[in-house]
Formats: sequence, C-alpha cells, structure tokens
Amino acid sequence: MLSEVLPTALNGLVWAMSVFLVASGLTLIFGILHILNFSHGGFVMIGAYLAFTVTNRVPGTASVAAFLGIAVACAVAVGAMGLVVDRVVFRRLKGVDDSYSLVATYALLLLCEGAVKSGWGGNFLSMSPPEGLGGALFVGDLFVPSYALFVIAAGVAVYLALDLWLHRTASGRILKSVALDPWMASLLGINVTAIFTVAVVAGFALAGLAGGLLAPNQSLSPALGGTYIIQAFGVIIVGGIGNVRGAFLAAVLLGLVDAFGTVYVPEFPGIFFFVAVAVIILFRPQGLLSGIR
Amino acid sequence: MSLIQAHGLTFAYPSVRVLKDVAITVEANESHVVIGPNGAGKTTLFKVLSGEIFPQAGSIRYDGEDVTRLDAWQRVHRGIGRTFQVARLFGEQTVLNNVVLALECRERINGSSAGRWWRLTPARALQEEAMERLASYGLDRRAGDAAATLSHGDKKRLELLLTLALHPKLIMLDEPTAGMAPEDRRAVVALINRLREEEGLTLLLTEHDMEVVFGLATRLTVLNYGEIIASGDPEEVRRDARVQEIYFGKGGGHA
Amino acid sequence: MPHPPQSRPFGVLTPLAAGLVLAAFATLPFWAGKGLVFLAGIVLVQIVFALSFNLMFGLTGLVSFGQAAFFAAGAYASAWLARSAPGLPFILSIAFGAAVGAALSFLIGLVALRRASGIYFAILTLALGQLIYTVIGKTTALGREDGLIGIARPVLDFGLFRVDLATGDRYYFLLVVAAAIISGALWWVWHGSLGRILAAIRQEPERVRFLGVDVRRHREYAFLISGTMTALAGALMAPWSQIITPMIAHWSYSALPILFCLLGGSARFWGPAVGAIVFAGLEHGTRNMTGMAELVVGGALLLVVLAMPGGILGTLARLSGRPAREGAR
Repeated sequence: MLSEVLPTALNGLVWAMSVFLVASGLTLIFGILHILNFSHGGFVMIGAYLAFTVTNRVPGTASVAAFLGIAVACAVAVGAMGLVVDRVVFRRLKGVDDSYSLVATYALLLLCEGAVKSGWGGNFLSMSPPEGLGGALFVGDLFVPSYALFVIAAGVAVYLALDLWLHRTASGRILKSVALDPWMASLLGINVTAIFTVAVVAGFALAGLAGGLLAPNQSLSPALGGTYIIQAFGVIIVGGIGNVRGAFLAAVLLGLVDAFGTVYVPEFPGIFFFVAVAVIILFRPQGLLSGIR
Repeated sequence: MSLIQAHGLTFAYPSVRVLKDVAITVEANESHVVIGPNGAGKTTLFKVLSGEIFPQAGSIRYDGEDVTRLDAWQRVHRGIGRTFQVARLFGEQTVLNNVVLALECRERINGSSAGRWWRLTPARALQEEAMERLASYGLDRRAGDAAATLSHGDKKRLELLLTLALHPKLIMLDEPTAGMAPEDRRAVVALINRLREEEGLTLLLTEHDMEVVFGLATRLTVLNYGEIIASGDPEEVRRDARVQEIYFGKGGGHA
Repeated sequence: MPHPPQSRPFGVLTPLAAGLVLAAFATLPFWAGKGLVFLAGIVLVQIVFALSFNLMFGLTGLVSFGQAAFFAAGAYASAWLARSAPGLPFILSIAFGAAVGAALSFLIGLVALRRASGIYFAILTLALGQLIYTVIGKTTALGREDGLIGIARPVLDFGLFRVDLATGDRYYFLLVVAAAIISGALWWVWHGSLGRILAAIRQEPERVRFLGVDVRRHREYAFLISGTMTALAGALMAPWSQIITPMIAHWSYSALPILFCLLGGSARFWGPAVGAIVFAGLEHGTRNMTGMAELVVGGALLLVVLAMPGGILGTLARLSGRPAREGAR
C-alpha cells in the first residue's frame, strides 16, 4: 500500500516544487505591483536555455557547485532583463485594469518565444543533471532520483528564504507596506518606484533561478514558457494571488491532487490540476490565503 | 404609510461591524435624511436598503413586500431609484444617449417594447422624450457631448435625471450636493423639495452639509458607529442631548 | 476596454472599406494562388471568431482566456457528426457544432460569471478551457492528440440540383458568404438595443443595475452569443482545413482573438477583422524566419497596448481628426 502511495506523493512533490519555483516570482510581483505577468514563464524558459548553453559551451561545468553557480548567474541575467521590462513596460501599466496588463504581458511572452526560437531554434533540447545529482537513492524499497530530491530541497529553500525576507527583514517589511498602500508608503518617505523596481527585479531573478535549476531532465522547447505559466497561474490563484505562503501550500496541494488523480484516472492525465483550480476558484475565489504574506 | 420598514439590519466586513441591529422606516412622501460622522455606516445602510449588498441579518419590507433577498435591479422594478456619491454615468456616451438608455430600460421594465425588435436606433418617441427631459433640467445644450465632459454638478443632475426617468416611488440620494458650489446646492435643495411636494416622491438621503440637511429634511436620523442614536423631527433631533454631544458637540454644524 | 464602441469612425468610409475588403475576398481565387486562397479562408474564419469574441470583450468588457474551447467544440462536434453520419445534410452538422458550443458556453458562462470577475474570470476561463483541451486530446472518438483528419467538404443538396463543395474553390465561396452573413448578424447585435446595454455594462455596471437591468444575466447573454458564434466559426473551419487537432482548443488559440481585437481596436466593431487581416499578413510575411513571427507579432501587440490603445482603427480615426465620439453611432 505504502509502496504505491509514496512514489506518487514524491512525483506530486517534485511537480509542486518545480511549479512553486516558477510561481514564487510571479506571485511576488503581483503582490507588490498588481500586475499578473503572463511573460513570467517565458523568462523562466530563457533562464533554462541560458543554463543549457553555458553548461554545454563551458568545459568543467558538470559539478553541482558549477550547476548552482550557473543558476545564480541566470538569476542575475534574467533579473537584469527585469530591470528593462520594468522601465519599458510595467511602469506604463500602473493603474490599468488587471486583465489589460495580462494581455500586455502576453505580448512579452510572445517576444520571449520569438527570441528563444530565433536564438536556439524550435527543436527539443535537453541537458543532464550535474554529476552527483544524476543518480538515485534507495529509501527502503523506494527508488528516488537524486535530482528529484534536489528540486524538492530547492523549492523549500527558496520558499524559506522568501518567507524570511518578507517577514523578518526591514526591507521585506518595506516591501509589504508598499504592497498594502503605496500612497501611504510614499507619505512615509519610501521611494515607491524604487521598491517596485526591487520587486520586479527580484521576481525576474527568481524566474531566472527557476530556469537554471529546472533545466536538467526537461525537454527544452519554445512552448515551455506557456506550459510553465499556465501551471503557475493555477498555483498562485489557488494560493491567494500575491501570497507566497499560499502559493507554496497551493503548489503542494495541486501537485498531490494531480499526481494521485493521474494514478487513479490514467485516461486523462493532467486533468485534475485544471479541475482543482476551477473548483477552488468557484468556491473560494480569494484563494487559500489572501493578501501578501 | 411606511414605504420602507427595516429591522435588525446587521452588516459586517471581515474585521468591522458596520451596521449593528439597525431599524429604520421611511414614510411615504417624506424626505428622510440620514446623517452621521464619516464611517458611521451611512453608505453601507444605503447599499443594504437599495439591494447592492445583502445584510447578514435583519429584514427589509418595501411597500408591504419582503425585499430583503431581492437584488438591486429587482428593487428598481418595484420603484426604488438610487444615485451615488460620485455620479455614475456612461461617460463615453452622449448625454442624450445616457437618457435614451434609461428610457429604454424603463420600457423594458414596463414590458412594452421600445420600437420594433430589429430596429437599430432607439424609437423616435424615446429620443424626443429624452430631449424634453434634458431641456427641463437645462441640459439640452449638452445633449450631443460625451457625458464624461460634463461639470461635476451637471453630472449629478444627469444622474438624478436618469434615475427619475424610471418613474420611481422612492429615490435614495447619496450625498446629492457633495462637491457642489453653494448656489448649486440651493438649486438641488429646491429641486428635491419640488420632487417631494409636486411629484409626490419619497426621498431617502445622506448629506454632510447642514444647511442642505435642514433645508429639505422632514425627518432626520442620526447614525453613529453603525447604530441609530436618534430619529424624528429634524428640530427635535437637533436638540437631542446625545446628538448634541457626539455630532454637534465639537464646534458647529459640520461633521 | 477603454474606448467607445463605434461603428462608423469615417462615416461613409467604413461601409466603403468593408465592401472593398469583401470584394477582395470574394474575387481572390481569380487573381491569387492556391496557397493564398487557403490562407484567406482561414482568415475569414478567424474574422468571425474574433468578431464573436469582441462582442464579449470589447463591447461588454469581459476578458476570457478560454474562447478556443468553444471554437474547438464547434469544429469537433460538427466534424464528428459529419463523419459518423455521412449522409446528413451539411447544415445539420454545422448547426450541431453551434448547438454544442451554445450548450458549453451557456454552462461555463453560468458558472464562471456567477463566481468570478476580472482576473479571476480570466484565469477561470483559462482553466476550464485547458480542461476541455485536455479532454479532447485524450478522447479516442475525437482522435486523441492526432485530431480528426480527412474531413470531407460537403455536397449541398437543394433537391433540384446538387452543389459539390469539394470541387474547385466552392467551399471558399461558401466561407465568404457565411462570414458576411454572420458578421452582419453580429453587427446588428452590436448596434441594437442589446448592444447598447452591453456597452453600458462595460462602462458602469452599477448604474445599469440601478436602471433595473439584471447585469449578470446580460453578461451571460454576451458570453452565450459570443460562444455560439465562435463555435459556428469552428464548425465552418473543419471542412476547409480538413484536419483539426487539439491545438485549436489550446489556450494559445484563445489568445488569438484577443490579439486581433487589440491590434485592430476592440472599441470598434470592425477592429478585430482589421486585426485578423494584419496579423495574417505579419505571419505570412515572416513565415520563413524561425521565431520572427512571434517577435513581430509580440512587438506589434506591445506597441499597440502601450502606445496606441485604440488599436489600428482607433489610431487611424485619431490621425484623421475624427476622435471617437458616441454621437456618430
């Protein structure tokens, strides 16, 4: 019995943490700026392609340390793109309807897809995990790929870091006060525009990091951005949009629902994610947790 | 005869109770003004009475019928009209088309079709009626302009005109003179008094300006922290000790 | 979307331009190659798709990201019926497609509009649309991931004579006629009394509510009409492309009409048609360069959204010194 449940739960958790890595930056940006960034998955994809290229071009990058270093470099690179996107696009979307900025950032997603297609082509690419994460462990009878454990650990680590940042540091509290009431914050002498920029760069850096960490064991294709963003939308809406803790909970919940659903109704794999998202929006439209946390 | 009888109205947002067991009646053909400090719950009371939101407890009878669970549009069908603190108009449309749309809605409510169903333009009779109504409010010169371009006072008048186009029995006016110049305020007071005296309308209002309040109220209710602390003849309410204390207490007649 | 619905930004120019475009479509097989005729047929279907969508989007102000579900419902339902009962009159399979789309949009509209608005409505329709996409891709009777192939172009039986739409460009001409008729019907809804109420709901729903109108019911009407007409467009496309795959239910297909509406100008009835034609031109012009289509389309959309919110038609009207004004309806 347990031997059937555990692998499924593990699959669910791996899915959950990958999607949380993608969703964390998305929900952070929405929490502060109230822009639902359709292109977020596109920038995760760009992070993954960058990691792919660096790993393949630069010799001696097969170690775990190099892998982590590359992921951080991707975070920096994509974070810098966030700086540009903030200047050129997001600042012009202040105060427009949420659904309108959804459409504007959809245009950015198209640009990401176009950039990836022209830079790397439309074919599937793949890279392997670094040495040391390519194997597997046996936990009792359970066969666990090391990379799967790594993804789970990375998701938890990013969550804890974000949670600590938002709740335990002065800069996190400033971010939250801007999210609650930008006008009031500006009266208190906070440079709101700068805080918005910080949030966008942090959100984009999280996208780049997610791309770098998730690049292995993944077929890289220009459609990846769209796939990521749809899953991330579901997770942040269910979690309570703008809420990092909620996104973490929702990712775990939806990951488990989808994994077990696929085991018990194998005819329609992947359907339970959408069913769960629809049902939760219908009965708890504000999500599991609301407000920025 | 009481047009509105409401009892035990309670409304709470997740963190605050805005209305606590409020009872209010509105008699036919009276001009009933609700006053109270900011945050007293006036607008919430309006929303509950007009059907914009439903109370968590309590009941509302309108003209003898229980309307507690009827949505705003259903109450409009029964003769309730409402204006907002900040006038809500169709800003992109012309002033004329705003009125024509209201008249078309009236025809729908009455079940009479406004012209043939396949016609693209509104019936000529409605366009003419709309122009007449605009003329009687001095807005006919602006008939072809987008409603968004009207002055603040004209917007409020147009909104009142839209509401009156439906031939309501009771109209609820949320701060009808907010943001107006003194002479405009006096004009509104005169207009509202005329509606009550000549057209037999019943009015429920909120208002901040004490000159306006005492210029048109036939009954005054004071709301404070979600509770009614006094209700009755305006002069008596003004003399009420508690009202004096919490409302007029600190220097003068403004909230 | 923030601009007034308006049908005749240029007075007499709009019907003239519409007539010219219609004439260009109608005469295309006489002066253009087969490839272009095929593309034009797809564009005609997409025009109907986008005009239907805009009734809900530009007129009523509802942003749905699941419209492809209705397109796919119409295409799959009609193609499935035509394949299962080959002798059935063409009109019945088309009607069946529209009916399935109507039923689906009625149900989804009922549920989604009751419970969600704004961004939640967008994501909810997206999730429900993806649900339908997944189901289609896993249903054997609908060909799973491969879709339905070899969909026959029908024979119209008028009793006295029969018209075989499989020969020559006949099905293309049927598409021209059908697109013109459906666009005309949508134009009438947009400009009629229902259209006026829907436009009012977009601008100030609370005022409409206090004019005694059941706002949610009217949003449901817009959603239903839009979904049904979209399904009709899907049903018309199946015999033209002769192959349909689950991609027409995918969310990226739902994004197409949004793109067309914004490019052309969602505030005007013909905006989405202009958007669809321009989009096809951009895509056709960049078809040989990998990734260029996305870059050009994405760049154009971003430019339109940030710098010219009225879309192509709105900008043209502004340049010609005829800013949108409701009085000219």
